[in-house]
Amino acid sequence: MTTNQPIGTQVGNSADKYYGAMYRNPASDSLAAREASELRSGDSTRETGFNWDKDSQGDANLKTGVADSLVLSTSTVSRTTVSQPVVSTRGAQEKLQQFKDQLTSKLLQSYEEVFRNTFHWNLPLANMAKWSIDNIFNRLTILGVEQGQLQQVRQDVTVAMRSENRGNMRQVVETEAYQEVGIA
Amino acid sequence: MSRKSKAQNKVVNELKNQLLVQAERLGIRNEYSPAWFVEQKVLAFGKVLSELYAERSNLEYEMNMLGSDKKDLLIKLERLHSYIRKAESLRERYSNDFTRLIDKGYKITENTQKLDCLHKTEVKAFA
Repeated sequence: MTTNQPIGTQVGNSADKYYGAMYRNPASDSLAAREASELRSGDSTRETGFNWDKDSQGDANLKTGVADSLVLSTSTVSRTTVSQPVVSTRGAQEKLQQFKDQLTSKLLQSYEEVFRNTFHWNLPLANMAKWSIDNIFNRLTILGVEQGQLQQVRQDVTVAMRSENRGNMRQVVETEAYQEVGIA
Repeated sequence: MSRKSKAQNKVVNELKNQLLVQAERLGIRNEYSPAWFVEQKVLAFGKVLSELYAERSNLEYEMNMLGSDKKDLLIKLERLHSYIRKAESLRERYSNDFTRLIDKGYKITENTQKLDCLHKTEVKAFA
């Protein structure tokens, strides 16, 4: 022994030197700095998904995000401060039904437009419409729209488009007639 | 044919092709037979002529008004007459074409029916 320090102090100093060196490892320093820079103020969750919470005695406890969400969902369900009277539930159901009706009508409208595009002269556009019509069809089926209603929409659109096509063709022939006479 | 009318023809032909493609997808392409086009042409010339006649009567009415520019109106009437003559001759031509197409179609139908009858008779004879 070259120093006059007691053996306990010497061990403590060497432990400080060893672990201190490890804590001062540049790699770990940069990782900590990165984590600290990425965290926003008030955000205690790290990249790992763990969360440090302090209990009533002030001790930090490690918790996972999953546990937090479970606790949150349980606490949300079991909250007694929020009253849910029957009247408000009925209102919510009405709103939900209203939303469903609006969504159905919008989807039917887009189904009509997309079905109209399937007859477009431009082949890529027609193909795209054919692809997207399946998607809308699935959504409408989920919403409970009957096949007969969709069939009616398709029939109406087809009849209207045939009539429109005939009218346009007559118009083109008429324009040709004017051109042949020499009236531009 | 002037450059402008060539461009107009190009646009009209493009529109016609697009409408024919659309008709093919709608399942009504068979409706647009040559006879249909000629028939529509005859009807279109009828409409053009009715408008030209209306314009002629307007110009003639204006001619009888006091204080109108007679020289200018006469030039307009002359041009209008040339348009009317052209439209009438075109309508006549398309009417004849339509009759010919109908006759041809009738003959084709008649011959097809005769051929069908012959085939049926041959089948019966073989049986």
